[in-house]
Amino acid sequence: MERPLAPGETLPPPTERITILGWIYRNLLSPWYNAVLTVLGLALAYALLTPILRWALTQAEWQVVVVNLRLFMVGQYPKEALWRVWLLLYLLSLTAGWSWGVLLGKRYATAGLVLLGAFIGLAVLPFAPALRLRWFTLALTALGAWALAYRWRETGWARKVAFALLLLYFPIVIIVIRGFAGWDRARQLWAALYLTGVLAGLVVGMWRPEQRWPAARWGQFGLFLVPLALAVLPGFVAWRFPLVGLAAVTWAAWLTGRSNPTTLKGFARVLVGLYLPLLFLLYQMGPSGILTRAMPQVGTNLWGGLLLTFLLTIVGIVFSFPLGILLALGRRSVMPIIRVFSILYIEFIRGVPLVTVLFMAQVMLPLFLPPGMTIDRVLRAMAGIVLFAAAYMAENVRGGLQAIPKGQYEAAYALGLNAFQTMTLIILPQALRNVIPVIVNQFIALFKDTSLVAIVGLFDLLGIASTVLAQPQFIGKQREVYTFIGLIYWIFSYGMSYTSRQIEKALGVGER
Amino acid sequence: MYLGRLRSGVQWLRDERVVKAIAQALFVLAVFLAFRFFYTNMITALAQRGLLPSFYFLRLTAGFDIGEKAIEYSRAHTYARAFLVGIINTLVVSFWGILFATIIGVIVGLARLSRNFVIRTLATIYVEGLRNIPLLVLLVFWYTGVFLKFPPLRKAKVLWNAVYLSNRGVVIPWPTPTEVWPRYVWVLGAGLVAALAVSIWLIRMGRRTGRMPLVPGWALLTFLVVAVVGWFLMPSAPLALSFPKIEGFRTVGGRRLTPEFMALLSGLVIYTSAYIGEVVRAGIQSVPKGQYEAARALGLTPYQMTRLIIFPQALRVIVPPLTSQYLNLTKNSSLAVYIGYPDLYSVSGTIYNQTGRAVEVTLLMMAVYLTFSLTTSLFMNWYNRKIRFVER
Repeated sequence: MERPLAPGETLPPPTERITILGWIYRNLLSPWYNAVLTVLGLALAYALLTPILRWALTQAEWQVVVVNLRLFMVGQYPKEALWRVWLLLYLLSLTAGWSWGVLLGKRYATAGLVLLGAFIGLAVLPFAPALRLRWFTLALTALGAWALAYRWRETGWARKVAFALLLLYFPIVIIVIRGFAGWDRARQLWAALYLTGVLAGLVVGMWRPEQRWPAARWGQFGLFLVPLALAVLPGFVAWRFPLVGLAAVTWAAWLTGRSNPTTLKGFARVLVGLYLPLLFLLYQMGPSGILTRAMPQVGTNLWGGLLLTFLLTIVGIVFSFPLGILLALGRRSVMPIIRVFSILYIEFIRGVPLVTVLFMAQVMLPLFLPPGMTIDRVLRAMAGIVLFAAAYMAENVRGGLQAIPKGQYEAAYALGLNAFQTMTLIILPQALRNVIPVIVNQFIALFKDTSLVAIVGLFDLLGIASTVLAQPQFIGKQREVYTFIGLIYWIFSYGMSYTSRQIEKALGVGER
Repeated sequence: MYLGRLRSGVQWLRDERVVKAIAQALFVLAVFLAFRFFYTNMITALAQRGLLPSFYFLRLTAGFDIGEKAIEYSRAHTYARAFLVGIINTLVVSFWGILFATIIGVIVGLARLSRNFVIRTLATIYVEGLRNIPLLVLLVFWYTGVFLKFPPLRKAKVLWNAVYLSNRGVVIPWPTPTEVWPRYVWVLGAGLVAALAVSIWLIRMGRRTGRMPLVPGWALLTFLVVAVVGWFLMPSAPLALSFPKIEGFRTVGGRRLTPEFMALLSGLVIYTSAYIGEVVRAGIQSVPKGQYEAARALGLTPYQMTRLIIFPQALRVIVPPLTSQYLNLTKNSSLAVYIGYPDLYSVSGTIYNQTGRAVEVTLLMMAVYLTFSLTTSLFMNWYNRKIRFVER
């Protein structure tokens, strides 16, 4: 059978043959103490599993979970506003499907199919028929978005849409969940002025009018000098702060536009195109506007359940990330005062438990504000979480920064980049890429840590349990309720950590 | 011309030192203004309520009871004393928590590396199952779902005729000192001295011969021998085990561990042990394969290989994250407030509710936790310096 080897050819290494019996022998029975361990382990598993399974399948009364499902998911969020949550879920499906199709294509198809299968599986469970239909259509939306995006993945606009969806999703979530309070005319006017200021600053900065009219060289400073001058005038004392803010925002936009005119061209074009529609939307945010009537404000005291848990997590992640990067840079700064300040902040926060920070946010934050200004409980908790998470984020980012060899700084310096460009273009991209796994782990920890807001009296997924357990027909059902809550936390945390491990493996992060 | 323009401009502004000095000055100014803004607001608000910051309230009578106390305390004692009770409770639960979490964690970590499929899988399920659930959920589950669900005292479950499980807590046998205990303490002291002497002698000998014996092991053995011999030389046993029994509506004898304490302890232990297991596993796996092969090539026995080659190198990796897990456990014990165990945070919360002194209570509480953390980091820095690779 075997053909003779050609000169220079080598045989492949012999394959290891493992029979089932051989595997059992090697892994379970040899040497003798392994057999004892196997028996002990199996006995332990049996002793633990049987009572748990017996309880879960025969004794537990899961009615408490089924009846209160809405409470667990969204808390006291008003029933007539629930469509907004669904809208956001559809938008999430769309965003996920679209960006997957554009950015990942057919990679990780298994993970995608598992996710889709989970939704279709939910549609099979005995929920109300309308609910099942929604699970199903959610899966269909994601699949459709993926297919379309996959078809157009080579086009530039599909990529841009994907990035826009990913970036805008978080602000949209907050706006839609919160709704519109109905701004008065003064507020609308200020918002319009700020919008105009940003746009004007950006466009003028990019355009560089002094190249055409030398007179405009100093004239363009009027953009932010006029509001500043107004702020100094005695007649405008009441509007001093907003005017200074307007000047600052305009100046920042002008600088940004001036320093990267080519990269921002597309962005500025979109913004100019959206200017009038945005003004229209702003107008509709008035007390009797369409937006206010369609989505009236839902106070944060009504946010609850898994929805609140997610919102706390997302706010924590989004805001602690830039703050953490700043602190990490501050800690490595050559300027001693800034370095000492960062070190003190980071070590102080890392030295105390999260509950004490939340306690401080609840009882001391209101004292810090000027009289007459209040800040509601959820926002206070968010502030506490962000301040806490930023310190840990800073340490993670610092780890990444320390791993960047000095040559990278020197090379950037030699190329003529300034300190800001060196950081944003050379150092941070590499540093952050190296610490992706650590950061994901921190996000998982943050997701779990949000449960601590139950201690300061918020009704997140854990806090709502006390409401459920106070219902007279479900007294004493703690095991069922907390098992269910624990399971939800477990599914999301494990899902996140599993996904990040797979991505790490695929990217080879940490192997270089 | 180019140079001329540069010179005529504001050249000193281009000096890096000047720019840095200005940036720092601006930063200090901004921080100062922010702090002044917050401080004036705070003082105004507190003055309105008549609660200007002062620590005088610590000397006032607390007027509330604390369920668990290691030192004498009643509602007639001061707030300062209540605070101290809270600190001690935190330390007590942290001590036992660290002890048990380490034991279970090491077992789990070793089991994760076992060649035995069943053991490995069980350990993996344990770790992955527990690390992905918030500790607070675990605590509430233990408290309301397990320890409060035990039968009432009359129908208490009795294990081995010694441990009583009921919804009023767990009662275990506990040694109580008898009249010869004070004399026995001297024996224990003598044992310590003997152990110290033996260690010094062994270390000297090890230095001289170049073969360092297992000093802690021999020291422990010396101490145990002295202790056991002394025990039997005493006229009667220095410690007597007191067994609990039910009398009417309460238990007598033994030691009662409240459901709150038990729930907190088991939650903390189980949660932290999963993390410690991972730390131990990572530490052992960090020893390169070549070290094992080299040890075998040198002809070391498996015991020698573990003790002299693997263990010291793994320990170097294990200790820093292990210490931070200990610290985490101590900080996490503040979640006790949710299940009603009177730890530092819980007592502070009560004091705040009674006095309304937000600033002072927050400062005190944070200062205590910071002390714990800083002490731990000092130890860590000392240890890291001690075990640093000494390269040529």
